[in-house]
Amino acid sequence: MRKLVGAALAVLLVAAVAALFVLDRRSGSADAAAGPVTTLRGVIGSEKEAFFDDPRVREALSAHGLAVEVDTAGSRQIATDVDLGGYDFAFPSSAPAAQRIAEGTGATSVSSPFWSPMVVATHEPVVQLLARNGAASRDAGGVWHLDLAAYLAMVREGTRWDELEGAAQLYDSPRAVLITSTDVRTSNSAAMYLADAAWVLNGGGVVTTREQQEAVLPQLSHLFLAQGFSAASSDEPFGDYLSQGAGALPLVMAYEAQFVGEAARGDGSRLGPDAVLAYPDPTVASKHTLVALDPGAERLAELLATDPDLTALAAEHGFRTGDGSVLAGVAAQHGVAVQQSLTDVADPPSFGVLEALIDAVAAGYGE
Amino acid sequence: MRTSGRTRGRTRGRTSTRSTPRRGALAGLAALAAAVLLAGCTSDPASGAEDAATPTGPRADVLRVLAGSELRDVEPVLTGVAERTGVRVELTYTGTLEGTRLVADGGAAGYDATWFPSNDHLALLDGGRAAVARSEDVMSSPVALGVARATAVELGWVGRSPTWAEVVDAADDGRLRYGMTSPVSSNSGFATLVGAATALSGTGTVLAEQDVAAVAGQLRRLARGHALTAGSTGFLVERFTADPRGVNALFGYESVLRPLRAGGEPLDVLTPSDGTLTAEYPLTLLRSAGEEQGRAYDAVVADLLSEPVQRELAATGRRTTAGGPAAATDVYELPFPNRLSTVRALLSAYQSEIKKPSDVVFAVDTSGSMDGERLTQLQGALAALTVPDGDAGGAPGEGLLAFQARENVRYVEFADAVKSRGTFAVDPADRAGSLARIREWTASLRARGGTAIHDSLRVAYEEALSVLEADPERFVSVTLFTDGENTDGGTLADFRAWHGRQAAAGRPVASVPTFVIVFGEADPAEMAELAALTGGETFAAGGAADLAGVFEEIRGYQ
Repeated sequence: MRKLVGAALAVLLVAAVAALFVLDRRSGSADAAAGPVTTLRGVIGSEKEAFFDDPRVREALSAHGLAVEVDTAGSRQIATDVDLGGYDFAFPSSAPAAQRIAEGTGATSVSSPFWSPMVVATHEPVVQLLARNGAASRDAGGVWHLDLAAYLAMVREGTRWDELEGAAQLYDSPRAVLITSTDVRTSNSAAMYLADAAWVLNGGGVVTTREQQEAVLPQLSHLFLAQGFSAASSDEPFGDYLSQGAGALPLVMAYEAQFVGEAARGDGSRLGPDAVLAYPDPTVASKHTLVALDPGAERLAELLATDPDLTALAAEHGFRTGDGSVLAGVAAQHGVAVQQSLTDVADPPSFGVLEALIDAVAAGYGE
Repeated sequence: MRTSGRTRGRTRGRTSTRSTPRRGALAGLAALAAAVLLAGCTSDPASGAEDAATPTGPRADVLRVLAGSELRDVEPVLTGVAERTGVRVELTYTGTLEGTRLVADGGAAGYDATWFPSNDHLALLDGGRAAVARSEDVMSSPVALGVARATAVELGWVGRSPTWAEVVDAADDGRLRYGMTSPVSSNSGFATLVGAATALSGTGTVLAEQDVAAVAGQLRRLARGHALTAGSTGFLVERFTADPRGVNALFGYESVLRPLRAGGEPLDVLTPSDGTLTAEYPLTLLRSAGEEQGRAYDAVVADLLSEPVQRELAATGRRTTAGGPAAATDVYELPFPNRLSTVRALLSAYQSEIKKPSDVVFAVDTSGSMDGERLTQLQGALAALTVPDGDAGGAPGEGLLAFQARENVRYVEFADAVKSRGTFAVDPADRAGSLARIREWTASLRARGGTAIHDSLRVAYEEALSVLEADPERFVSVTLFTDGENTDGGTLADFRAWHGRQAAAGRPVASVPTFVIVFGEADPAEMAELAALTGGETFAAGGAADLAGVFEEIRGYQ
C-alpha cells in the first residue's frame, strides 16, 4: 500500500512537472518577485537530474525568477566533448572537471554548492561477510565502513566470495570480490573510485610522479577491466543495485547522494530491507561544481548555495551543502545512518594526473 | 504495421510477406558481429532506415518502441499503462540482436525507445552508447536451464541448482539432451554461451580473449548434449512443445521456461549455481527522440516501476521489485565481456570448433522461370555464405554465418527433375579452399525446365536421412528454395504420404526440418503446409538483398 501511494505520487509528479513546465512559460513572471522569468540552460551530471526535475525545486527557483532546463552528460564528457555553446552553465560532479571547463571557456565564476562523498551501496549479508573477514566494521554511530586497503588486498589475491570465512551462511558467490562501478572512461563516479584507490595503493598519499602512476596502474586497471561491461553513467549501476539483488551486485560504488536521495523518496524508495550504505575508508568527496558561463548562471550558483529552501531540497536529494548537518537530519528521518563529519578523506590527484591514469586504464580495453 | 518476415511453419496458412529482417540472420552478427567483425563497418544505411520506418510520426501520446520479440506477453500490462498515463506504448517486434544493430547504425530514427533484454551489446558497438539518452531497468529474467522432471530427478537436481561443470558432465555423458538457440542469431543462446564460458573459465571475473581457448574443450563437451537448435527463442519453444522427444532440457530466459511442460509436468527451472547472465529489460529512450517523447517515456517508466504494475509484470514470470519467481539472491550474476575482441573470439570458436557440426542440404529450384535476374540473385545469396571471416565484401558479419569448418554442404539442384548434386565437406585445414569450391559450384547453376518440388525434396530427404542414420549426432536440415508452383511430378499430398511412411518405418524424418524460402511465384500456403509438416518454417523473400538476408537468417536455424 505504501508503495502504491508512492507509485501514484510518481505519476502525479510527472504530471506536475509537465504542468509546471507549462506554468513556467505562461505565468512565471506573475509568480516571480523579481520580474520576468529567465530561463537558464545547463548541462549537468546525471545524478543531479532528479533535483532539477523536482517540482519543488522548480518552484523555489521560479520564486527568484529563474527557470532551469538541463541536459545530462558524464562529467568527463562535459569537460572534453560537449559543445557548451548553447548553455548558460555546466554543472559536472567533480572539481577537476569544472576547472578544466573554466579554463577552456573563460567562465566568469566557479563554485561548489553541493558535495557528496563516494560510498559503497551493499547488502546486509555481504557487509557482514566482509566484517567477519576483517574488511568492514560498524562504528559506534551505527555507520558501516569498508576498509579500502583490506578490500584491495582481497582483490589483489583474486579472493572469491565463497572462499571467505562464513560465506556458506552469508553470501556464497563464486565471483571474485570486486566493486561494481561505472565505466571509468566516461563517468566521474568511477574516476572518483580510481582516485580513492590510487591514494591507498600509493601508501596513503596523492599520486603525483610518473613512477607512482606506473606503480599503481596494474592494480587500478584490474579494478575496472575485471568488472567486464560497465555502464556509462552513475545512475545505471545504482539502478541495477536497486532492481536486482545481492547476487547480481554485491558492492556498488555510488554517490552518498544517490543512496540518501533514494531513501528520502519516502514511500517511493526502492531500497530493499537489506540495503546497506558503507563508507570506504578513506572515502573521496565529489564536489559538484557549477561553472557559470554567463552572469545569469552566477545567480543560480548563489541561490543553490544560500537559499534555505533550495539547500533543504538539496539535502532531500541526498546532497551535502556546507557541513552536512542538514543531510544527516534528512538521512536520519529515513532510517539511513550517515557519517556527518568525514574524517578519513583522500585527496584526488590533479586533473592532469587523473586524466593520465584514466587514459592508461582505458588503453586496457584495447579498443 | 510491419509484419514479421517469417511465417512460422506451424502457424499454418499464415502468409504474411516478408518485409523486415533484410539481414535477418545478421541478427547474430548484427549486434555481436557487427561490432565484432566489422568494428564500425556499415550496413546499408538506406535500407536500415527503411527497416526502421513506421507509419506513425512522433506524437506526445504515443511512445514508439522497438522491442524484443519475447515481450508479446507484456502487452496486456501496457493497456493499463496507457489508461493511467495517457501514453500508448506501441511495440514493434524485432530480434534483439538485429534491433540492437539497427540502433547502433542510426537506423532506428522512427522509434523513440527500445526495450530489449539487455543494452550490454549495444554499448560495445560503435555509436551504441551515443544513441541512448537514458534507460531504466524494468524487470529481469536470468538465463536458466529448464529440465524435465524425470531428468532432474535422475541427475539429482531437484531443488538444487547444478554448477556449470555438472551441466557439462551431464551433457557429455548423454543424460542431458538440451535445446538452445544459436548464439550468433539469438540473444538467449548468446547469453547462455557467454555464461557457460565465463563460469567454466573459473577466473571469477570477466571472460577474456585468452580464456576462450582454455574453455573450448569444456564447451565442446557441453555441445555434445545440444540436441535441438533454432534461430529464435520462439521457434525453439515451438519445436520443443510440438515434439519434445529426444530433448529433456532447454536453455532460455526463466520467464520463457516457466510455462513450459514436458511429460505433463512443469520443467524444473534451474539457474547454474556458479552464475548466469540476466536480461534486465531496460526501457531505453533514444537520443533521437523529441522532448515530448522524453516526457512520455518518463511517465511510462514511472508507471512501469510502480508497485502494482511491478506486480503485474511479476505475473509474467519476470523478476521485479514486487516479487517474481524467486528471491533474486539465488542468482549470481556473471560479468558481460567488455571487449568486442572477446565476443568475436568466443563466437568464432563456437561456430568453427565447439558446436556440433551441421549437414545442410539445399534443394535449389533452377527452373526456367529463374532465368536472368533471379538466378543472379540466387547465386549472389548462395555465394554470400562462402565468404570466410575477415574479407566480407558486403553485409556485416558474413564470416560467422558462412559455412563453417566440419560442416557438410549438400546441394540438390532441380527443375522438373533433379539436375545436379554437389556435396562439399568444409575442411578445417583448408576452409578457404573448400568455400572457393562451393562458390565455383553455385556459379555454375543454369536455369531451365519445369518445377518438381516434392519429388526433388524427396531426393534431398533421402540424402539427409542417410546422413542422420550414419551419425545421429549431427544437426541435419533441408533448405528448400523455390520461385514457382509445383508443375511436375508428385504433389504435396504424395510427399506427405511418403514422409509418413518413413516415420512409420522408424526413419528419423521428424529430426529433419525443412526451411522453405518462398520466392517469386511460389505458393505461400502450400509452402507453409510443407514447413509445418516437417517442423520447419517458411521465410518469404522479396528482392536481392532480401534473399541474401533470408539465407543468412536460416543459417541460424541450421
